[in-house]
Amino acid sequence: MSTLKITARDAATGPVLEVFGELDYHNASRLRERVTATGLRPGQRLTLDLGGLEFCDSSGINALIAAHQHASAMRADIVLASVPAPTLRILRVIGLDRIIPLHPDGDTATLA
Amino acid sequence: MDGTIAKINATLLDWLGVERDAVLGRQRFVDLLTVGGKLYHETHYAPLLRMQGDINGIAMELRRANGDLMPVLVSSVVKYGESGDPLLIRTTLFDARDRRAYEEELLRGRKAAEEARKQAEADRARLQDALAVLQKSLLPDTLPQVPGVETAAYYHIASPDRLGGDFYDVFPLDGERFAFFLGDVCDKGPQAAAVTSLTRYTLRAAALHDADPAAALTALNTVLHDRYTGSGDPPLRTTVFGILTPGASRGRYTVRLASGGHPPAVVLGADGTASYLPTPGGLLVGVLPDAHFATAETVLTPGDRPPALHRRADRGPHQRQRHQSVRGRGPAGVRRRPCRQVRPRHHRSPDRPARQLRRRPRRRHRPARAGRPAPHRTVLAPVPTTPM
Repeated sequence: MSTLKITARDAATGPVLEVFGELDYHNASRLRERVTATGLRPGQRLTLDLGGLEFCDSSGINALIAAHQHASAMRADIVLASVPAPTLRILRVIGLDRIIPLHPDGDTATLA
Repeated sequence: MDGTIAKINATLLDWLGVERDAVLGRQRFVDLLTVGGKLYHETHYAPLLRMQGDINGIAMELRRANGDLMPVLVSSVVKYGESGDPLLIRTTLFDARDRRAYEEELLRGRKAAEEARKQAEADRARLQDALAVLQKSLLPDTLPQVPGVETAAYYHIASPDRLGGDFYDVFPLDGERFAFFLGDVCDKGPQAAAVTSLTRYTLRAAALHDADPAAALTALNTVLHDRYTGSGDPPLRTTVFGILTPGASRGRYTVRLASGGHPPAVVLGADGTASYLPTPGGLLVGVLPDAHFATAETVLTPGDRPPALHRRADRGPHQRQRHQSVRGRGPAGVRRRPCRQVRPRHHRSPDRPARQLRRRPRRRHRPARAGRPAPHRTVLAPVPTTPM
């Protein structure tokens, strides 16, 4: 089975989820659950650090869109940090890079 | 040795429902049996017993005094005297009523299972018929004749019960212009088919209302966003929509297309060159209420094979399985390779463009390594033919 590991921490800007491994059809729902479980509050910034992401299929992209919509519904921000090149290419093709801000690494993403 | 009963125990008398006196010395063993049993006894049982000296576990039926039949298993052994002459036959009967009931139960169970299987097969066939009809409603039966352009389609699905989330269409807008689209819903099965159906008919209706590619995608975006907002699971959709407008001379077409989350179209020139027709920033359809869709335009001249629209699909569960099997982690999954194209009737070498376009997705459909681009699965390529 594919492996997915998600760790959560809190930064000054808001919750941070670090995603490791493969995000695919079988486990993308876990990211969605973790996103809704972050306790994101209005005005906060949800950071998804994808530095450890090894693979992301369309289900994973769907989970990122769902995270964006969750943040919007909470009147909060969302950023993606350390997006790997293959996933970044997909985000550009589908225009998602213009919707969700991207940061080169998790540290700059969590600077207030 | 003639079968006359010389001794009988109380149990057998009870089974038969007769008195001892009515049997001893008056009846032979065969008299206790049914007609069929008597025949079998004469033709098989007795000869075998004579030959072997014993016989075991033969199923027969006793006729009881009240007329009922009672299944038994019969075993006999011949007792010999000191001189070696046969003296008597000792026969033992086992009550086989439980066993018979069990056998009948097995037969009934088997019959029921058989009927259930037939029913399931009939249901399955009906379901497949229904799915085939639904699947056909998602794709055009035939492609229209576009003057100066040959259209053809090639479509392959691996399993008839996996309704596809892939769609394409070519249709006339008015006397001159034609519209085409191509897209994918990231999912399979009935849910994807529902989105596909909604998408197809929305695009067709929108194009007839306003023949502008971006406007068609905007209409689709509004419909899909309204439909799936709040569902918590918006299906991922990429779509390219284009309009073919004939130019001043036959075989020249202006292609204006808009993309929502789709990889850029590729224009294959008559001279063999290939170039992208970029549509940067075109957002996935249905994600945001006010999405922007990028448009691009190019002019196709005879011999060009424009624009080849490669639908780049991520690995779904089926491709994932193949991927795993390659790594030795699971059984080989379902192979699925939809690949469609609209191709020219005549080019300098009529079959080459089709072969090339078709081979490309096939070759690319190898399992991608983690993080690598996913394979192409769909090609749509309208191509003007050489002017007459």
